[in-house]
Amino acid sequence: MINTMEQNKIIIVISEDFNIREVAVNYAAVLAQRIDAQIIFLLLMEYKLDSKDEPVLLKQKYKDIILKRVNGIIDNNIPVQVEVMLGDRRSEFYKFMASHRLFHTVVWGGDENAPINKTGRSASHWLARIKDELPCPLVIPKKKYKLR
Amino acid sequence: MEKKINLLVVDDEAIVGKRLKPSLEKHGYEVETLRNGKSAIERIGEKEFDIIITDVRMDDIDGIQILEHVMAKSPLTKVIIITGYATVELAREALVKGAFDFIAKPFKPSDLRVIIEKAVKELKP
Repeated sequence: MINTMEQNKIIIVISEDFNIREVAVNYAAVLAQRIDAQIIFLLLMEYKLDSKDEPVLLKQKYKDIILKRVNGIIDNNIPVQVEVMLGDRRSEFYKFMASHRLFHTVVWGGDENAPINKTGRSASHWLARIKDELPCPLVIPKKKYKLR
Repeated sequence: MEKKINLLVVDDEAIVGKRLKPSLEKHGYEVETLRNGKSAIERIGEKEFDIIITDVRMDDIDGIQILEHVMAKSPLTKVIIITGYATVELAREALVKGAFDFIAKPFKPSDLRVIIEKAVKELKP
């Protein structure tokens, strides 16, 4: 039987480029340590048709970059996974959520000034437009968190 | 000569077919457009399409019903779901029922083309 509690213990850290904010990584790590969860770093990137690399190769290349970045920030035994999805970010995020089960928290790891808190017609960012549909809290960490 | 990939676009918003048809034809695809689910089901009965791009919310037969019909009739056809009412649940339903991909409106034509090209690669033996 699948343990629902275990399924819940996944924290997603979303970013749109390789510059995942350190505060977001640390926040996720502290939370993961506290609740015994695993972290999935989800990189959502556009894919250009004229790209020289096949999507599969590009995903692997991006995964390696993210892992290097993350491992440079957290070096404890928290289980970490990296997923890369290429295409329209909002659609790719829907598909990601659709193909996984429940999550504990979604952490925004991208630009701190991205207009995610705006809602309604003024919401220009894809995540702002869908944040009310998320099945778990969305956190935009701003201050520093320290690992124990 | 290589056979052209044929696409069917089903969307009750006329502007969608009107915009997609020329832009996809420019890239070598053979494109038909229809504006309701009923005529889409009829056309699918007459012709086997390589790729079907369908909206979800339509008055008579919705995109998920079209997907189910296609999966039962010609499972090799790639169905791409487009919707202005995207939700996680809808994405899950579409993917579980066999959709090749799912894209939320509004999208950039180039994002749809990336998906179409991915589908074309899978169609080729």
